[in-house]
Amino acid sequence: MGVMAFYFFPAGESKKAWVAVGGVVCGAIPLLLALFTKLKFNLPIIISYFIFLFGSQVLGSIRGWYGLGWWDTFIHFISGGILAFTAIALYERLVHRNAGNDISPWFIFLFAFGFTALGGVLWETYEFSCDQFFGTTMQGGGNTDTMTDLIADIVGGLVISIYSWIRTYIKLKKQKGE
Amino acid sequence: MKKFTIIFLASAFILFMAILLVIYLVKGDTSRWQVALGGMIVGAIPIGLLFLKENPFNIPTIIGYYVFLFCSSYLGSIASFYLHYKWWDSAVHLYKGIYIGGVGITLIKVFIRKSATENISRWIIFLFVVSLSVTASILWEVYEFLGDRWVTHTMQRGGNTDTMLDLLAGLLGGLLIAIYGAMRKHQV
Repeated sequence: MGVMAFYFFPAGESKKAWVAVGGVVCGAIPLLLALFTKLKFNLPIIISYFIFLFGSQVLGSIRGWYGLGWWDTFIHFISGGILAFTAIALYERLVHRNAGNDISPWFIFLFAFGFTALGGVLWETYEFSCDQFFGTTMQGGGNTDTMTDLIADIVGGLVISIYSWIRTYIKLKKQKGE
Repeated sequence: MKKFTIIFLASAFILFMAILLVIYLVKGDTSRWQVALGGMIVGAIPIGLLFLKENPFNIPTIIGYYVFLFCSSYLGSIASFYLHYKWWDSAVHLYKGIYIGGVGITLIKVFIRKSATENISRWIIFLFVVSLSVTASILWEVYEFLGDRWVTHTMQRGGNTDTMLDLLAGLLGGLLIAIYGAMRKHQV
């Protein structure tokens, strides 16, 4: 991304260059989290996070794939899945291991699903505030755009939440059997 | 006592909506009698709680549900507060955010055994409550969106700004109760 920023600025493509600068910042976030907090995320989340950044910034904004129409929805779907995985990781860090047996799989399901919804709403809030205060057109598609984004988010989250529900359910069953 | 409260509130609310239904049917006011009919149906839902082995919802939650129904279906739609007062819609969404946050706290009690509450971080409570509240907002907006697509064309007539304000009000309400829940973790 740093290379791209230096490539686009002299080329007069300042919009693409700013996306690249944003990419540098977003790409640095996992590094900062690893250095300054105790939170540790597992490798699949970190890898999928970078796939997501690549998909939204390089392919979406710089290569212009958002113009394809379905790309935006697809990226929201992917990000919903990543958010749900992040929720599960957070859940595992914030709950002590020995409490696992006393917590219903429904809690994990609702937590992962709800966390995705929260992420989706915060994202749309960010877009909305930028549009309001800086006159950008991030929500240019209007209401339909916002709603499609949110629906794609929660569908992505739902898939992973159902997966985590099944996994926890099986795990609890096994422990009871022992 | 709890059973009595549910039966009393449900029958009072259903009766009230039934009277409105008859009045507006006679007047031929289609949109209002439909709201009254819908009010009767959603007013009957808590009766289902009577059939559960153990009803986790306390009396304030049940009363809160009817306050919400009254504010949205009667005051909002039938008495046209939604049209006359711009802030009414956001106020009801704020209330709904707080209310679902309260339901979230009840659900935590249901899903996590008392012995385990020592072992969970207050951040989990905070995130769970605010997330559940936001989920409810999104599902509501999805319902409005799909309803507009296929049946009516008025629910999201305020466009994107309307949708976003609804979501923000719901988020704010959820945040308030999540902060409260996280602070009072041990009493919860």
